[in-house]
Amino acid sequence: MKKIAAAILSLCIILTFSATAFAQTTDSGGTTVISTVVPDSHTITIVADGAEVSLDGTPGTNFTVDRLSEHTLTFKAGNGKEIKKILLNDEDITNKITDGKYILEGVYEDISITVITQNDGNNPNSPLTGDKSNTWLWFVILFAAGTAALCTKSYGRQKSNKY
Amino acid sequence: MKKFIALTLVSALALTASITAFAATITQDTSDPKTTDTVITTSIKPTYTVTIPADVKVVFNAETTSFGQIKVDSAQIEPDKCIKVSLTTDGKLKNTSDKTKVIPYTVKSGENTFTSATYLATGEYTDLTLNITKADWNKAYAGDYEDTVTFEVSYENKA
Repeated sequence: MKKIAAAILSLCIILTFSATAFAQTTDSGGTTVISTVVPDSHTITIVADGAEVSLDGTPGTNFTVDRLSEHTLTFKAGNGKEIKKILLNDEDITNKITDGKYILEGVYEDISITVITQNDGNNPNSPLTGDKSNTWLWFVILFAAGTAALCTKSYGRQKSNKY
Repeated sequence: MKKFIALTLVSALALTASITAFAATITQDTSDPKTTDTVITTSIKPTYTVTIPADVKVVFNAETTSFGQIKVDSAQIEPDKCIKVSLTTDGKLKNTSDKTKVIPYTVKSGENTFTSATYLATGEYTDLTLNITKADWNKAYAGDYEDTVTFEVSYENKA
């Protein structure tokens, strides 16, 4: 009898057992890492046709310098040339050149220097064509041809008046 | 011993017993109909999954870098609640060799600095960008820089 009672009680416990369901509030998230690398050196590339460029007194076209280091660029035009324009990463720095020198204060990126030159004495606004012929000769020929044409016409008119 | 077991079982039964809710019975014995209300209640736990940005490496000299997005992948939330995602950051990338050398940055959503956002439904998202000014890049010393930001996701009352 007792066993039956215990079995019934056990069965009742099992049947009536309830598990409490809590609302799940998730207060979570996560972390994210942001990173970057700042280089310890930069390159200076020089394109100068008709001029010589030196970095701290050393001529050349490609240099590697420490980041945030200071340097002096010296510009010297070649024979028969003069410097027309100097570009630093496409920025015109011609007016910032003093006595042919430019100070790079704290290099913080790769630099490209472009030096544009022109022949001495030429009008900087005239494009070079490569035609070296004397233009005055063509004017002399033109004048002579015009004179000859007028003379021929005048001679023909006088001749026709005689008849 | 048996009495003790029986007593324990009875106590357990008493503690875990639940009251059965019977359906309301309407007895119509007159021409006047009777009505009664039955309240049915249930509880569905709120669930949501939010994606936060992964680790990102900023390219040197990049002024704007995509930081991915915060996106609600799934959300079953109560009508008066919302999912809030907050960003905690000091806004400085620290040099791994010298913590005094830093590069300031901002996390933006569009044109505005991002601090937090709330979401109500699946599919809602916020695009984020990392912004470092040209001036700050130019002043930065060489080296590796890093910072850890924390996204906190919480379930809150709708504002």
